[in-house]
Amino acid sequence: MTRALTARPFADDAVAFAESVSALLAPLGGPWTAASFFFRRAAVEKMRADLSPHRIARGNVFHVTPGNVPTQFLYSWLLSVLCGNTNVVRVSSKLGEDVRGVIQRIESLAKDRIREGNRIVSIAHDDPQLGELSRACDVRVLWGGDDTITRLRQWPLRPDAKEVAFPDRFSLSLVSTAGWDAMDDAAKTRTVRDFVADVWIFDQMACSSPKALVWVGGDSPSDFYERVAAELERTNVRAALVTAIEKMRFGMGGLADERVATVRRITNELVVAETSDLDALRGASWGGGLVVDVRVSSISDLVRLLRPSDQTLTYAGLTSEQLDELVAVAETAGVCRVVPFGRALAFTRVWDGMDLVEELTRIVVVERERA
Amino acid sequence: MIRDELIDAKPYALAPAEKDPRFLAAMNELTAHHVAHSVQYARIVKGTFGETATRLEDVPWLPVSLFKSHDLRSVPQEEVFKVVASSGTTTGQVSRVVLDRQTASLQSKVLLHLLADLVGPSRLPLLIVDYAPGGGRAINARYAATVGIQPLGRDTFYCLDEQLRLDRDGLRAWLAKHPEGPILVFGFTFILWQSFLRELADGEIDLSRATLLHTGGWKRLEAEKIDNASYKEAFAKRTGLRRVHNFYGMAEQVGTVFVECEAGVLHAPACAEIIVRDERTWAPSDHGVIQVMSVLPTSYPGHSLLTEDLGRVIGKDGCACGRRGTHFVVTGRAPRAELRGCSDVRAVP
Repeated sequence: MTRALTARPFADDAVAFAESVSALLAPLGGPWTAASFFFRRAAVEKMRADLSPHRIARGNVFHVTPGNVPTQFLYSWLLSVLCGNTNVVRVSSKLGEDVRGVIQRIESLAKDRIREGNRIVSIAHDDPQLGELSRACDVRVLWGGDDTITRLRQWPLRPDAKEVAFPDRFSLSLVSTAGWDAMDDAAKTRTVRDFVADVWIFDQMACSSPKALVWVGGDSPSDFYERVAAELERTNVRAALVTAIEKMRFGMGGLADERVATVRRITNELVVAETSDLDALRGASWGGGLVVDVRVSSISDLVRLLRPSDQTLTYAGLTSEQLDELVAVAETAGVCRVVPFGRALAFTRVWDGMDLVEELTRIVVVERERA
Repeated sequence: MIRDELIDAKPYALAPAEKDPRFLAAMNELTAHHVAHSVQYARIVKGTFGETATRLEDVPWLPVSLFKSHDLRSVPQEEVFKVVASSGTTTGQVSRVVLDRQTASLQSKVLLHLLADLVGPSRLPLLIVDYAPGGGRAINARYAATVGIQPLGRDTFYCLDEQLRLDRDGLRAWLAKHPEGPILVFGFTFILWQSFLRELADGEIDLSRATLLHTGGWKRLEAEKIDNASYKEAFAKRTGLRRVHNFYGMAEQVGTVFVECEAGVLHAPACAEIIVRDERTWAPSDHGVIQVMSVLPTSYPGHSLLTEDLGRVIGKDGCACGRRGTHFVVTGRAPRAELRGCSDVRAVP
């Protein structure tokens, strides 16, 4: 693929293509509908209007996207199409038939320059084609965690190419005990519904899924987890049997090592492990509905819990002064996102601290002679 | 000690009313022993269960997979005699179970005791469908079993080589040495199928006078849609072998085996018990997840383990075969599940 197939960012044909994809995805439900909303005409027009002048396409972008979040490739790819780049998108060979069907329908919407300049390939993580694609690209975008990134880095880039990588991240939630206690029933219901969506969509395994819940200013109130269990029941969330057993194993192992203080199996779906030492647990991997419960006496104590590599911090029950304090703490610690409960999985063009539109374009410096 | 009584008892003679209180007392004895000798186990019991149970279902249990992630032992390092590793075929992770001399010898003794009860006291010529132990072979459960079973028979012949290829000439020669009278055949369920039965033509070898004992699980045969009934049928058709007994057990509880009777169901011996739990409420149920209990382990806290096997209790007593006590069938394994997410995919072990 050559520079000839690139275009100016937000060229009309790319914007029209995004709009047609958005229309195709809208009725498909779940994460497809969320992607459709992200690329709706008005949102794309807003991005176009916000673009600073003299930004141009980078060239050829090679995306490596994971197999287990089927819509992930769309965000990375369509944003890059909008930025005017040509693209090769590696999707997982593990994608289901239904996802492949959607991909085919999207591909059939591409016309002319966009059809010629974009390719979706399904190859394994050890296929030598990855080497050729890496050598040929101007930007390599790697999604999918530390192991994937380490494996892909065996293939060198050209010296003038660059990489945008999204490694494993840790995410957590924070609630004020007093804030929770002050909520009325409707507010508690909403808070719990949002927490359940954040944790259980993608089985607590997305990089922005909260793994730990920090209570500020007191013990976790007894009704919170009861309400979470009821919401899981209401929405028919079911943990696989092996997942339920694995969470018991994790909890008991944590007790054995003194890395957790107590374990409560509330249901198969919800296991709560209390700890006073989140750092000791960070090396372990857990998910599928295991909430690590941590207490701190004040928001400023959060500084010692957070790490610069942390991604998303969701919050609930804070006053606006407390939120200001939380933002200051998060910025000191270096967390990537501070968002309300319910927004953990909402993709935005700024991810892991990087604005993808900026990463996928470059700036031409223009100085004009003085008149 | 109560556990000694249960170990020495005739394996299938106790009525539930005689066995149950003794077995519960033995379990409580073992829980107290491991609490006293393993600080890690003590923390788990303190954090999740009570130490003394008044009902068998309240005895603390550990998920078998905990032995993959944690080194749990109730003996000091200098008393460790050997470490048995499970094969870990599905997840690549391996269970490591620490044995001292006492637990190891008890395991061998009980294994032989339970299998001899099935095949009779006279030592029969023994054909093992595996390769001969020796060399630097890692001590895994299969190795332990192929060695541990030897005292049950005599003139043992291992009929596979290290690539699991059948030594036909050797097999014929060995059979010619024992031209008549009963013989005993032992092997792992899948290896018997793949490297023995499938290699033979119908009628090529006559094993109609043999008794077959096999173990190791059905995981890999499920994929080929082979169940216990079709397995037996295939053996009868190809070799004339009709006395086939599966037994159920695991690397984390070597020695304690649940043997399939003539009626085709598995039996808990006096020194062991199973509880089948509902997979959502975890209360005892007729079908669900199998918990295995054994009075043998003293060197590691493995007297009560939650497996990932599914089963159905057939009865608490009164099997048609005449054996007393709990009898059950294993119906499968909890299906693997992959957690989604945008991080690297992790299979949950």
